[in-house]
Amino acid sequence: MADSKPQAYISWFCPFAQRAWLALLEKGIDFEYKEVNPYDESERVKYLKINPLGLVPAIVHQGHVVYESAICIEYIDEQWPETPVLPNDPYRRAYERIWSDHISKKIVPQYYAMLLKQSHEDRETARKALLEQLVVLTDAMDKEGPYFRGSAFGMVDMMLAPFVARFVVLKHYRGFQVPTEDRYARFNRWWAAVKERDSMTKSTPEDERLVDVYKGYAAGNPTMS
Amino acid sequence: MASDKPSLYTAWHSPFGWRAWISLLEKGVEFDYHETDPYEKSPEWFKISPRGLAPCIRHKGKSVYESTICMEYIDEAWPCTPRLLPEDPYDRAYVRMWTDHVNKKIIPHIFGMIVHQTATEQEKSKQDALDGIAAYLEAMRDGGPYFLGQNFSMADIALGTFGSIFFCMEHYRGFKVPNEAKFVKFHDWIQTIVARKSWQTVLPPREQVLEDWRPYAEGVAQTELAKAAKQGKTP
Repeated sequence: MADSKPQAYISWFCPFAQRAWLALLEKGIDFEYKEVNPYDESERVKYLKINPLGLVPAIVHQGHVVYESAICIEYIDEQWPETPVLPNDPYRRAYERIWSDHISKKIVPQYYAMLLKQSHEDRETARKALLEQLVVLTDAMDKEGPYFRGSAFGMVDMMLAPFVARFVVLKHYRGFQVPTEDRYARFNRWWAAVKERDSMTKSTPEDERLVDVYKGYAAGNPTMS
Repeated sequence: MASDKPSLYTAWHSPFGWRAWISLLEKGVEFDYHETDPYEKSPEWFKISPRGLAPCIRHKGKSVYESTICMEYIDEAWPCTPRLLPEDPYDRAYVRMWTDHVNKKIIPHIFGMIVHQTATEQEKSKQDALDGIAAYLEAMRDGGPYFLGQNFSMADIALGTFGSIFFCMEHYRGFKVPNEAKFVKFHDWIQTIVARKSWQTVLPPREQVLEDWRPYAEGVAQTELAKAAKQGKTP
């Protein structure tokens, strides 16, 4: 059956899954939400039949599976071309991909390091690196904004937003906050706009649930309760 | 005035660099080649490539870097044949997923087996590389000779650049892709790939490749690439 409804396999707490979820919501795509708990053994076994890699997010559509959050976003954008999340111009598309890659390689690992590292020194190193790399990213943002490339909320925003939404976890367990000084003004302006979006409200769990679900990580144990 | 003719900044010996170089050659794009040492961290280099990475393409006053991002950029900026990604959104996702697989599940182990200095670590890297290659081969579509079947794509370039110098891994670490069972497809595939004019243009002579990898194999390389590989990361 052509154009059947896509299924999005998501774990409610997972920031990577939220990236794809944001793309679906922003584009107003009619999809079927499928909750997956990859830490529950029997659910995991069932899910492996759908996605052999066992990770979320996954998009299942017309008998095919797409996985990896950035690849899901690009698939969603190309399969449903209305309300694009990537620009048209080849250089601007490369720019979105370069900065999405920066988020995944330079920012996300520091988020997890702050949670999982057990020594204060290691966490401090991660904290400094996280703040530094956020500034590198915001220096690459459109000056006016508020979003990464200006007035349109797009892929780079979606790649970062779920992790910033989980800074409450870092605040609770590690006392982490992005400062309010000038250096972080562009970041704070970006986040103030991003967190108000409907798609963010719909896909971000409440602070208390996030803090609770990440307590294993904070104890150095990367599993979910 | 920003030029429409692109410049490729790359190192002759880098398989990551060959990805961008091959892509430009395949498209028949006229470009200026600039031999580059990305470990020479000069201010001029950072003006060209803001994160200091090679390969880097300068085009119309802008810089594009990260080899996979370069391949997609080249395909979109010069949308002539051969297309490096197909038309259909799912097929495009398929090429991206398996290119990502090459980057995450094969290449780090190719570096790992060379950079690690103990036999145990080397053997583990060799096995992990073979597992990654087996998965790629299984994902290859029927009809051949390319990853997608009849059509050449970015997924062929992603693995085919490193695959063309596996003789180097064999020389230093005895690494071989077996010629049987689930690995049989590899040999026909790589032979077809390496025969392409673009590969013939970029591949350095064997002795130069072996010489280039020697410091890594002998554990004396001090580059960021060596450090990253020791940590199991792709540089």
